[in-house]
This record gives sequence, structure tokens and C-alpha cells, in this order.
Amino acid sequence: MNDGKRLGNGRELGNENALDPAKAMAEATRIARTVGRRVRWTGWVWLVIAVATPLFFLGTSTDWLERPARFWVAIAFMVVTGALAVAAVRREARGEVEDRRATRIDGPVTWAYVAVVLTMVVLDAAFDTSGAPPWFVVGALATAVPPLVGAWRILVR
Amino acid sequence: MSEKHPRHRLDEIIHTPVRLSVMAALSAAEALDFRHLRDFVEVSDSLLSKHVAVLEEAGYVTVEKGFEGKRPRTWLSLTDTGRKAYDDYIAALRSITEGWS
Repeated sequence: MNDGKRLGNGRELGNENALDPAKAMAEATRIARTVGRRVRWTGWVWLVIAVATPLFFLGTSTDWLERPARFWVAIAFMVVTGALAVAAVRREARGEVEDRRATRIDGPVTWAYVAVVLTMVVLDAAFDTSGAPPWFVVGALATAVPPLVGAWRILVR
Repeated sequence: MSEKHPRHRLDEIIHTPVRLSVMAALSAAEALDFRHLRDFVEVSDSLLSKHVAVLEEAGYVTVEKGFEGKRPRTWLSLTDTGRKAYDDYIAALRSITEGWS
């Protein structure tokens, strides 16, 4: 099939008008940008989760913030995660393009994230964390590790 | 004229609407699922298969079939040859659209 023929070599001149170069360039750019944006979406989601989760634990389970502020941190976390969940369901329903890299990473990252968050929830319930003991701060920051790895693997190519 | 017009560098295998769309989409990802790519490019299964076969025969695209759980998946990705051909094609297009002298 690929015999090295190129447009404009005589026999192929009939195809030259099939795709205008300017339109081809615009279309290629548009498609690459659209697909690139869609395949990076999961990476941005993991990045948001990586930032939001430690803030949630430190903002709601320690006395670093006053009680009304803690309430609003919890609400903000619920709104952000809820919005991301709705967006994820909508994307799935629309059949958005998925990169194999993201589909490979999502499972392990999700399980690691759930495991570390559940551990923190149990520890938070079992111990007094209001004084923000160092182990709790480290644990809260550790909740960001799985999503950060996910974001890095998807966003950095 | 010492240099050929850049249109001579336009790869005819890529320079068709559907194959250009496929190559552009695959250039932005590691691998894309056939079903999603079909919907994105807005063509039928058979038409996409036909164009992918041309790209595969040229060594530009690889097709890998497998399962994700119980869900069958067909992943399409650019080969190194395909990525270089696409980059060269875009460079040729850029030369044409930005003015060749």
C-alpha cells in the first residue's frame, strides 16, 4: 500500500483537492487538542483529589480551624467530590475517548486511595486528632500520594 | 527552484479526512479504544476498520485486541513510524499554510 507515492507526483494530483492543507492543519490541531484534553481529564481529577483530601482531613479533624470553617471545608469537599463523580458518570455516558494509560492506572490508584483514606478514617475515629499530632498530619498528607501518582502518570508524558 | 514544494511531502496515506482524524487523535494519546475513536471521528465501524487497515498495513498503527475484565477492547495506537510520519506530515502542512518560498 505504502509505495512512497506522494501528492503532487502526477498520478496523485487528482487527490490534491480532497483535503485543503489549511483545513487539514486546522482539523488536525483541533482533534489533537480535543483528544489531548479529554485523555488528560482523569489526571486533572486525580490532582484535585490529591489537593482536596489532605485539606479535608486537616481542616475537619484538627482544631486548626474554627468550627464554622470546618463545616465549610467539609461542605466544599463534598461539593467538589460530588461534582467530579457526576462529571465522571456523564463522561462515561457520552462515551468520551479513553486513553489506555488512564484505564490501566485508574484501578490501582483508586484502590490505593480508598485503602489509605479508610485507614485515616478509622484512625481519626479511634484517636483524638484535634491537636494535629504529627502522625495524623503525615497520614493526611499520605492520602495525596496515590492520586498524585495517578495525576503524574497521566499528565506527564 | 532548488527545493521541492512541501506538498510533495504530504503523505497520501494520511492525507484523507478520516485517516487524518485517526492519526491526529492517536497522536494525542498512548492508545485509544476503537469504539470511542469511532464515535469521536463520527464514522461507521466498517469505515473506520477499512481506514485503520490501511494505516496498519503502512505500519503507522497497531491494533491490539484484549479484554478489560469481561469487556472486549480493541486498542489502537501509533507506532514509532506512524508518529514520525504524522510529525512529518504536520511539518509539511505547516510549511504550506505558513507560506513556502
